[in-house]
Amino acid sequence: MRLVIRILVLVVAAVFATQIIPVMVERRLESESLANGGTGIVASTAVTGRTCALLLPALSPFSAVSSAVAKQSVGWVFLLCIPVFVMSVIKGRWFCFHLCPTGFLAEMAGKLRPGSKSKFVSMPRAGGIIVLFALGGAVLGYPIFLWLDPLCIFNGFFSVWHVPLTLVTLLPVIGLIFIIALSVWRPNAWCYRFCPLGFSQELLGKAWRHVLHVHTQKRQAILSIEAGHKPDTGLGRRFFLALVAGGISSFAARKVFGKQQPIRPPGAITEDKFTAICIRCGNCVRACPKKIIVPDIGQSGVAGFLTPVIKMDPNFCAEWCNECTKVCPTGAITRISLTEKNNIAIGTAFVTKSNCLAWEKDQACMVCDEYCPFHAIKTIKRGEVLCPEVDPAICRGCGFCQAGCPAERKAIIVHGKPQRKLAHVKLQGT
Amino acid sequence: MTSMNRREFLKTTVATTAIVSSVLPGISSAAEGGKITVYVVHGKDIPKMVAAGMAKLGGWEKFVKKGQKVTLKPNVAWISKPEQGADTDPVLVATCVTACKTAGASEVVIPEKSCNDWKQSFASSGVLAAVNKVGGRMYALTEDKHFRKMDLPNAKVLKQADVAIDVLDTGCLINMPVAKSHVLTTLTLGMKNWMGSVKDRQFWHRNQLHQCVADCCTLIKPALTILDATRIMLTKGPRGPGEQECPNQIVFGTDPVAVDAYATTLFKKEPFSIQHIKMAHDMGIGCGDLKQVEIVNIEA
Repeated sequence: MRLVIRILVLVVAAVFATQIIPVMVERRLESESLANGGTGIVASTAVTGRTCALLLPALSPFSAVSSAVAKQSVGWVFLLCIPVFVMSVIKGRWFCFHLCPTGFLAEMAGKLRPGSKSKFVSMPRAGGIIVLFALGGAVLGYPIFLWLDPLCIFNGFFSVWHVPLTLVTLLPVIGLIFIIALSVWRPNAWCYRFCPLGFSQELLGKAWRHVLHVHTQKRQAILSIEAGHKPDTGLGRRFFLALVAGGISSFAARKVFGKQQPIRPPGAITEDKFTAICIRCGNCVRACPKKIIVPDIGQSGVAGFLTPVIKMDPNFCAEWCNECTKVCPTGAITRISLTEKNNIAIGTAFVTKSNCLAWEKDQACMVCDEYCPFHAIKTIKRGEVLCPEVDPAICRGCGFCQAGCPAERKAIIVHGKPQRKLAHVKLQGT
Repeated sequence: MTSMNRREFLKTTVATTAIVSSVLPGISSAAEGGKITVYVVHGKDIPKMVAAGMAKLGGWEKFVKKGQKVTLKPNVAWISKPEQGADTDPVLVATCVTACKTAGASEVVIPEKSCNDWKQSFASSGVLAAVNKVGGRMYALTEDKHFRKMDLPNAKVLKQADVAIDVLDTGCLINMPVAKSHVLTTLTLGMKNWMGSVKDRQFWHRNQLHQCVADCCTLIKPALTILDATRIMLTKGPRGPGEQECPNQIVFGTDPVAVDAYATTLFKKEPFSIQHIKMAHDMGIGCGDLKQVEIVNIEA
């Protein structure tokens, strides 16, 4: 029975992570509409269940609580972690044993070498340190190690399988492969020595029992002091020290930036929190219909490894889409409506005059102006030739100009900037 | 000294004219002067307006041969609502599809290469839905197999282009542009509409856009141009939203340059102030000189 449930959970989680259902529903709606003489287009406001992708990673109280503390706000997605939270208070590692798909895979991998079943015991309890570091960091707004959450590692593995499959988009796969490899080498090591979700469940269970027994413990402590012994505060001190260490290291980690502000998906929270609160689950990469969101390798520094960044050319961030904002389990990308999304600047375009057909070669071009959905290109008259210039007060950094620029070396390129809200612009077709 | 009598003179003249006109067909059509007619239908009921205009031109049967394919080329390049005027009116397109089918066309195809995402453009413009309803086949030119490489021997700059196969191989080609302002060519009318039928638009931008527009018209010769000027976008074109005006006109003509030349007057502009109209006129593609064009106004 337990085995059946675990396999079922594994399959369902994989289906959610790959976002197969929304794609299938969209295809069906599309063909239905075409068959009925319609246009075959599914409006971006239509509910196609893409949000389901966030269910699995959002179950984890470890990443949910840490990110909520760091952001100092909670949304409805936070509520999804409550069942597991409650179960771990009552039953400790209940989720691990019955539902966790990563745990299941690790367990199966561990069974390959039953001889070394208990070798993990000699390994250090890294999971505890990870949890405390994350919590300590969360208080300061930068919870490190959130990406070690097993549910998001699982999600990341399944969400990357989409076209175009490149080496970079495949990188998030390494997490789950690493866990399985570790489990083959040292069965049970991941679950009992490294997994932060496992340890946080253990911690919650222990804390509850601690509260239950606080009276008896107090009495015992008084008794022991009376008997001339020092009170046992070992765990408490270690706990506190780890929290402080987490805080300090998070303080150091958030100072490690890339050279350049990367272009983040619309609705991303500020860069100094984003690299921590993003758990690299890969949902937004998967959800983007234009395939412009890719896992980062190096642009945003070590701290931002595998966080989502936008790569514009040859595609762009479409003004009719806000799919990536619907799927983030930790709120690193806030849930925003299409209108809100269109009023956020994810970057700003810059004209490189030396590459520009109009500025450099006196050609009548202005394709950037033609394509710009927001009319953010100012036309400068230089003699007979019209030349483009970007109005940063209007430019949203959607990259349509960059995609359309006919110059041999792109003369207009979107650069990352901290995201900011701009005045509303009425779009054509709305 | 041998003198030439009247009969001989006439004979030679007729013969020379025939030779010249057969060698340079383009120039002859431009030099025909008064024979070029542009029909301007005023009204609000689009099906009625189309019927009135086509009656003057000799009916649909004159253009659409029984059992042949008809290709329409409306402008559906942008995400825009019908009333915003960045795309050809869906009712106009649907009316023409129906009329072509009634006239005996085997199928009516509408290939289009949108600037915006084609699904969104086709949907918001309402053209795809309208065409589907009346049994036309509209599709986006997204794949290489939709195009064929063509040489343009009479062109000055655009010597080679990948053009949509359905635009090249068809029984009857009808251009259905919408009149609106354009940031780089001042106006976009009939001739520039063919940019939505070629694969590499960026080449045009890099290499004298106006000349490329004119060059393309040496290859693509529509039998008929039906220009949608029911509402025109005066500013912020081609995408909009911009200022609008409603001339409530549909312009019919067999000479693509003459139709464009007339349309410039809706924007209070001189035809030859638009470079590609001047170039097309000079290359003999059609007549852009409104003095030589008869404009017939019809109420419908």
